[in-house]
Amino acid sequence: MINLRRRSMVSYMIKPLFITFLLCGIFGIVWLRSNFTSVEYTISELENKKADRLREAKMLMAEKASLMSMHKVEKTAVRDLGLVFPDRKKVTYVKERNPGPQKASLETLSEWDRRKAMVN
Amino acid sequence: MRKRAIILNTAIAFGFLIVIIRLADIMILNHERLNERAKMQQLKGENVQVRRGTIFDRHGREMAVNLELESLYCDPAEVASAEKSAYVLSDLTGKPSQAILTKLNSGGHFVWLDRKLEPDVARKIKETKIKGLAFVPDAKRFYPKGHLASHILGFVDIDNKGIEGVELKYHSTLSTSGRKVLLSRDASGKTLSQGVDMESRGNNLVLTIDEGLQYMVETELDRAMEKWRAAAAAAIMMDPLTGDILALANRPSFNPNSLSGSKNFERRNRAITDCYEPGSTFKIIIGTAALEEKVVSLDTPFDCSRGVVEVGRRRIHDAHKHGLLTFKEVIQKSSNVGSVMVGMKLGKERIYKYAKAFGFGEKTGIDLPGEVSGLIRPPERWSGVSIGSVPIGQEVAVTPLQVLRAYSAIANGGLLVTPHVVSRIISPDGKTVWTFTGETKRVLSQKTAETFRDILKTVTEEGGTAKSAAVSGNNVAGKTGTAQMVDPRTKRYSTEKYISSFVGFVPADNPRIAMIVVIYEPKGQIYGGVVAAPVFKKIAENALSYLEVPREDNAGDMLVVSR
Repeated sequence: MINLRRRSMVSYMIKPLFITFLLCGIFGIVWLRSNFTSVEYTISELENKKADRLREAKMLMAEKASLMSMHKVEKTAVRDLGLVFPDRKKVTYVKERNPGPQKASLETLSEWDRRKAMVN
Repeated sequence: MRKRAIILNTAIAFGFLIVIIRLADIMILNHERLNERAKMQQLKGENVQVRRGTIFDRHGREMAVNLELESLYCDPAEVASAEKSAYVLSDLTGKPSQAILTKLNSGGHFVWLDRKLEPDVARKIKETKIKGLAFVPDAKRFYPKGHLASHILGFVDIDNKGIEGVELKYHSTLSTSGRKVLLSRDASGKTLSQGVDMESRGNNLVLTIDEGLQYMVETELDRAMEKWRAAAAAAIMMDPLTGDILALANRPSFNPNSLSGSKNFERRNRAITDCYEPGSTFKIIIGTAALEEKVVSLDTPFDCSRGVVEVGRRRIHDAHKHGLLTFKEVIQKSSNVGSVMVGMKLGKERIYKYAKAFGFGEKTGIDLPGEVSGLIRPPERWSGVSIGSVPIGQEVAVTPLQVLRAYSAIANGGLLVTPHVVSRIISPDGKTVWTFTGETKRVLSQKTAETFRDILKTVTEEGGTAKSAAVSGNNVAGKTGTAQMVDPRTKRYSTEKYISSFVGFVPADNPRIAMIVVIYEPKGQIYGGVVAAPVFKKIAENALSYLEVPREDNAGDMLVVSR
């Protein structure tokens, strides 16, 4: 008797549970999908912002390169700061006791190696 | 009741049947067509922006970069008031309103209105909210150093295609192929991110040029042009050991950022595209050939006392009568008479052989477009007077770069190097994908090269023709050249138009730079030792300071320190 009642309760519950799971599943999928779309919108907006910043950075880099041109540097040094190009007679060169490639600059090192290789 | 139920069930079944048929139509029968239509609504094809690589000098300073601008286009069918819009756009872009109106009234659905607008102008146009106008990102090539190194860098056209210089020679390296990507979009046309990089970048170039040295060369060329009221000038500075072009400049010049204001002759890279008769700088050929072939020794005497020598029906003169000269003095004093005598001892076959060995009559192989090979005729095509002309640099056509390369062979101990302006190619992610490895060819024995280098040193010493090229504190080896130009009207050598040049290297015994200076049609003075040599001196002094090359005369005063 108890078994019969339990069986009828299960069969009574199974339909609403199935429908609830189905609805939850559908809702979950829709919710996930909408979240994806929302994230895609956010990423798209951020990408646009990034592109704007990169564009700005490129413009600033070009401006910096232009301002650092030798012509402008010399004009500022000579006209505004009163500097002069050094007279070679007044320059004292410092020689290291153990001469070798400079380690401060990679460019110097590779340049040294390249020249040395060509000479050899 | 039962009848009603049957009718209801039949109606429902019929309804479902209609839905199923429609679904079958949508999902099976017309699937492809409808799918395409849906894609057209949901997806938008966008071009990946193609950007040229950056060009750097040897120390990583930007010489050519991209500016991110916008280009304006329109769909003429969507523009409401063409006349009013044309007036507003004309005011903002500075273009004639009639030209804009013609475009707005043209057919089709896409017309460029203006390319590469300044950011401020683009912003103002956007604020007008004229219907039918749209913008696309567009890169503009920008040369931050202006005129500097313009003949090396070259320039690009409106579509960023290389037209001259390195931009042309390395166009396929600097640019990259574009492609289209499909982006999802919503009903309002907003695109959704697909995680695709919308920019495709070409490789970067590292030049052998040094901006500092280039500036020094160009500054001094400007001064020389002004001082001698010359028609043109060219100068090249090279590392004689490696063939690295450190600086290359021509005058007149142009600004690649504003090409509309420049003329064709200003864009000519004379250093490699223009031939000239080298004059005395060509005496390197008979000098080295005579030593290498042991035809003469340093002290072999030549009687130049008459100051003239007859070759066939031609009389060749010296600028001054010299008397009895040794071979060394013939080169030092640049005696034409002595040089012709040396040439006669050598014979035309050997002169030709050495001229070819030094690379005359052939392209040097520099990686710049438009190089010419020059001209030296084979001995069988020489006339009766050629044996008097070729040894003193007449009847031959050379480029300044060929002459410099020949002198670099003396500087480096007899090796002919390959001049080049690009040393490395770097991928957009910073990896070196190519490094220059040029070929060198031995053209002289080291002994002959060293002997001739010692002779060239005397040219800038007391008694030489180029004392004004001497640099305080370091030995300079070099040679002057003064060549008459051919008058195109009379087809004879002009008595008014000359080309003055000086080519040399410094420090002579451990050369860091080799350089040629050529001044075309100077006014007032004509001699290479007076016109071109001082330009060499000034550039060399500044360059040695810049390169931190110590003076040789105070080596003992050098401060020695430990690490």
